[in-house]
Amino acid sequence: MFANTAALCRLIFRRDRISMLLWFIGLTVLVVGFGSAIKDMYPSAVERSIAVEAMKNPAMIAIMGPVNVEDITQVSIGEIYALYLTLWTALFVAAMNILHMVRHTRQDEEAGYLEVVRSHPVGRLSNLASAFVTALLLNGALALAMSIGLALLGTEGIDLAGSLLYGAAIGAVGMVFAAITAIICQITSSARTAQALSFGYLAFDFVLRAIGDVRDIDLLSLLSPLGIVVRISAFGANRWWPVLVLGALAITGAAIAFWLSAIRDVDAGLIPARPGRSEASAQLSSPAGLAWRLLRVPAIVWAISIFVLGMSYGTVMGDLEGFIESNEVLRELFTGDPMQFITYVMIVLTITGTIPILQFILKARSQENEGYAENTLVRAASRTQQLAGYFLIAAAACVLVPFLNALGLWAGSYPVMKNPIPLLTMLKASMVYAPALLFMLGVAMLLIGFFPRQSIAAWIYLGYAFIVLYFGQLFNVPEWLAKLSPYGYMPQLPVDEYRWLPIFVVVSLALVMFALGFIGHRRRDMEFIQ
Amino acid sequence: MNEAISIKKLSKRFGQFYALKEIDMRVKSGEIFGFIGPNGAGKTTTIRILLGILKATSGTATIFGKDVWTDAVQIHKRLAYVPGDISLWPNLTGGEVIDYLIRLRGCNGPNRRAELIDLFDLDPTKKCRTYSKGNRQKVALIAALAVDAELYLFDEPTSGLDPLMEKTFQDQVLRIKEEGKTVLLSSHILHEVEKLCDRVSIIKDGVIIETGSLAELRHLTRTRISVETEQEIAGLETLEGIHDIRRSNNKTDFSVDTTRTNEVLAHLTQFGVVKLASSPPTLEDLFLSHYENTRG
Repeated sequence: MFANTAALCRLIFRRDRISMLLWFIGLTVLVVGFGSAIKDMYPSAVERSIAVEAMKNPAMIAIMGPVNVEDITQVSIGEIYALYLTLWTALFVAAMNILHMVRHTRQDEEAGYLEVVRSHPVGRLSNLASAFVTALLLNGALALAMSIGLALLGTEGIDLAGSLLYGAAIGAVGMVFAAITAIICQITSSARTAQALSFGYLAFDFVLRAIGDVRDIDLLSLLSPLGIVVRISAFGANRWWPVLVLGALAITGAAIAFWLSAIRDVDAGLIPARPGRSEASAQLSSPAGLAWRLLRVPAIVWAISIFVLGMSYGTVMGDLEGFIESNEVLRELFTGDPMQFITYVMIVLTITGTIPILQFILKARSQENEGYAENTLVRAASRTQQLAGYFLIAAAACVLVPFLNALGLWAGSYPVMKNPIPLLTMLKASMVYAPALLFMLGVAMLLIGFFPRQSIAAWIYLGYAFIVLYFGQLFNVPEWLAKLSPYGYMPQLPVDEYRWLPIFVVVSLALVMFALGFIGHRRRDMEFIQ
Repeated sequence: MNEAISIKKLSKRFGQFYALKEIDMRVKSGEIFGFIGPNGAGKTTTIRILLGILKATSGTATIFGKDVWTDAVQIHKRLAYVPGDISLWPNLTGGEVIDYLIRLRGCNGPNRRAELIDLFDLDPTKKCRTYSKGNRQKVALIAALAVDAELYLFDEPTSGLDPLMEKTFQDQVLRIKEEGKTVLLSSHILHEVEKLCDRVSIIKDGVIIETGSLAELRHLTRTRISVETEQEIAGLETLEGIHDIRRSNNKTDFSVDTTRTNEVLAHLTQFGVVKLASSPPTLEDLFLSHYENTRG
């Protein structure tokens, strides 16, 4: 049943050595780095207890988990660290495990690799076993690195016992999600569905424990592995029972996955794939119709995410004044003005909102690259028509994104603020970034038109803009660096004065780049990977 | 109009590499034109230039007398194309893709969709992600054949199809021909080209090395002769145009250049022919002898 599992494990490590290393380094740096960064943030006990008090509002509990500290007057740095990071580290590790398990079970099966592997002297359960063993090694290495890394920091309040518990809990929750994903992969017959269901379950878990934690219904939180993991209270109460519960869950889940795998055929799911439509709807009659069909699910998911993100920033605004005054780092950022906070949030929201815009327009490029565009172009559809569908959706997003940003921020802040900021003020502050979004779209269009192979540069440019603007105010980055991105030119409403000139210039440049993009796209060779 | 496709001194350069070097090709209206060559010879590049997907470096290419680059959309309304390896949107069903591709042709009238789905035995309700290579090819063929066109471009259209479906495809091509339509068929399956095509061009390393009807091209090739004689054949090796001799007992197999057939047969009769079989050169021989010549 398990013959040659070791060989399959080596193959997985060989195939994934880069991505595994990146996950490992990335998560370790996040966890250990934050442990080092938090050291000097709250020097006095009073500041620490204020910080914890500030986390006791429903919005923060929903996002960060329940606030369990031993003694509110004697909060250690470690406890604050755990409050900030436990849930989110668990989320990242869960995501890593979901991707790992889907890739090495259902995705390999769908691609036909499993068939090749199984024709060799390999046990029936070896493939699943190798996915589990590698997940275990990866989670184990991560847990160990986090524990040792945190303990070696020598930060007061982050001790060895707590570090070990933290690492172990993260490793255990990772294995729980590996096991759950493995079960889902046995049930569905497509990798995409398995991945969507697994991430859907992760989101469901998050919401389940958010409701449980906010409403103080422990039972609800304990139904969710994420709700269990935050109950370790590392560096405080140091409870080990959640780790044991998670371990038991992981083992049970793995056993169920093995059993399901043993009773099904290769390529089959326990639930057969539903047949789709045999005829296309009227929508699917033009290149633009196809573009919308391909982008509508991501578009809806993004619209909801952007609204919710805005809302979650909004809910914080109620506690804002007390919050900003209590925290030195935040005080430096905002100089104590909630209006200043809005301008800052708008930059973060706008840059996040640029991601779907680039994604939508670069879909045109990936459609070309992967050979799908050819199907359209060899029929009575021009290049311009082919690109226009994606362009129009991305351009519409340039207006919708700031609108949803403002709406979410307002909806989140309205119920919690004593003097709510009017929607119109927020709309003005967010809509002023629409030209910057159009400019980013223009950059992507220019790349598609003239440098299609370098399209990734659009993402690098966005990353640059994010780093400069996000950290710029904190580290006094020179002004001209910010001026290399379109966001830096937009007046920061409601604090700044409204200025027409930069908006006019940026919009004009965007329009020129749109035109050039379409022209370049019409003139060059279409490229395919073949 | 009696020329459907006209290519003159067409070149295509990728960086420093010439994929096509001044090729000339003419496809007459109503004929089935074969386009053969090994992988990387430039067949697909030529077809993609004809489709306005790649831009020619120099030379001209026209379809129905119109420029393939500037009038691409006008031309595409009148042609149908099947690539050798089609990428289908993984999350759409085969039926949806077929409908979309048919509608893009600007034709909303009745079509042969249902009949072809039946003929090619395709399940249109499955997502394209789950289709095998052969099934993807069926989607491409159904979408191309469902609506009438004046010109059909097939680029290795039967790759991945089983022999039964290959036959179905050939029947469809013959139907097209009966309707007086033009076909450009690029293929590796030589018996298919042989069965269907009126004329062929052979391309190698971006150069067209031969064009003509199959009858015209056969003069270049060798006939395989298998002969049984009473006496052992002497002096066969000394004759001109004889290749690849194999002997077993009183049976002899050899190839002869078609132009030398008469002299060779005269020579054979001296030894008392008991049994003689000759096989006409297949396209495969024609193909191979070309490569031998150019290599040697």
